Amino acid sequence: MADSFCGANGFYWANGFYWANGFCRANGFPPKTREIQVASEQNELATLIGKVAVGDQVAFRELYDRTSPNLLGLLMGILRDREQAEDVLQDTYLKVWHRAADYHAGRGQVNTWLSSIARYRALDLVRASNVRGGEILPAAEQLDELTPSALQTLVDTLDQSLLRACIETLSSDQRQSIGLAFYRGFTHEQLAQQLAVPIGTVKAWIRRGLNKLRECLKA
Amino acid sequence: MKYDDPQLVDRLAAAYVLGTLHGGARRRLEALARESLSVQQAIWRWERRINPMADSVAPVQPRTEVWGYIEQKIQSGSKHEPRVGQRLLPWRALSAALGLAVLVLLIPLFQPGAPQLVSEQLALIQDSEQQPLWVVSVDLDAGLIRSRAINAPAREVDRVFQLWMLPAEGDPQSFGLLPVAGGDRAQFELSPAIVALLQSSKGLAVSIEPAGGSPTGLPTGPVVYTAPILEL
Repeated sequence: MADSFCGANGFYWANGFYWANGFCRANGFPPKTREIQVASEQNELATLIGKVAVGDQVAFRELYDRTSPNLLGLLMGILRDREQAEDVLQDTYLKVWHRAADYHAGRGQVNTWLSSIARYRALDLVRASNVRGGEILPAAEQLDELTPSALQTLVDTLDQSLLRACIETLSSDQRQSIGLAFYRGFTHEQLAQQLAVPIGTVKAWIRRGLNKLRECLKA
Repeated sequence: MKYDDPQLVDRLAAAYVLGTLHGGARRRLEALARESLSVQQAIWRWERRINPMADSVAPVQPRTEVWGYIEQKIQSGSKHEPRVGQRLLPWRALSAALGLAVLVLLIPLFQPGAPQLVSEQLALIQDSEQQPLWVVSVDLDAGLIRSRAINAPAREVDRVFQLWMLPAEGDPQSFGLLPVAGGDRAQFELSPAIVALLQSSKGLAVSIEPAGGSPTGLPTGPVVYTAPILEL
């Protein structure tokens, strides 16, 4: 019985790594090769961060080489401008260099921590440039970018199968509004404009969608 | 706003991480998170939940100038504002105080004999709020690592904290498992080869490992703390 591998304590041991048991339910046992590679890569990144924390520039370069293309892709989705995105990328890595000792498991995997730093900077910048005289400008040229099928492709390629499975449980409206907010940095106002619904509707989609994700990821 | 309402904090944290919380409300939550651990943890929980979504975006290779700029900044930064020294100022003050305490304890022991230098190194492992978690001392002559839990953090059942030394080059070396109950001590013997590596070490790191320690001899879980080593 495959489930017996998954243990009652939330974790089980396989192929040299621990796996959260939500993963078991989503995928059964054993995990796919891709999942093992991802876990192994995360361990390597965590070791690199430890070295960066004590000032190892070689480790820092390796961390940069391995993680910066993904972060730049994320930043360009939000900022829609290569120069601005590369500026934020620089700021992000300077912060990582100075603050690597602050990284801990509570912030999630290394990739997650890096994405958090980069997204917050990008969001601050995009909000500052979207606001003129207190009015939030519509992001007209950004609006046709993330179609439902493009979003579906992003969800399909997520490494984390539990998160992928949980996003699949959202209604298409919830998925689309959360996806646009996450990958494009849209405000409620921009979402309402893009999806052609009242702002209250957008807020409700997002709130319910996030609640659903929280409950699903808890399982 | 009643920020002591966990459900409200959770909702605000979710909107903060997603990015739909903006303007004054965003700044207020940031300020609050700096002061309240529970607010900070609510934000971290949402980062762990939704930020892995970022992993699936199509990668874009940065131009080479980007690294050039970062490299220049970190190198000029380390000249003009000694980075490690700066970051460790509170730590240094504390470890200086600890070092003094250790010396005060040692003086009576060594007074009768010939003046003898104690070849000892010390590290203090702290959390992000500079709260001490473990004290680690290294007796180079005896080849012994001693660690003591001051305020070890909570951990999952069946998980342990493993201590590593980061040599100037090569893989981290295990320094054994750290004690977890307050006041508990642990001791770990070092081979002469490891003692030699330790002389040029860049510091210590703590990772979370399965019960019994890493099965591979290298960290397999996340590195959760790091600390520099001080000569006494």
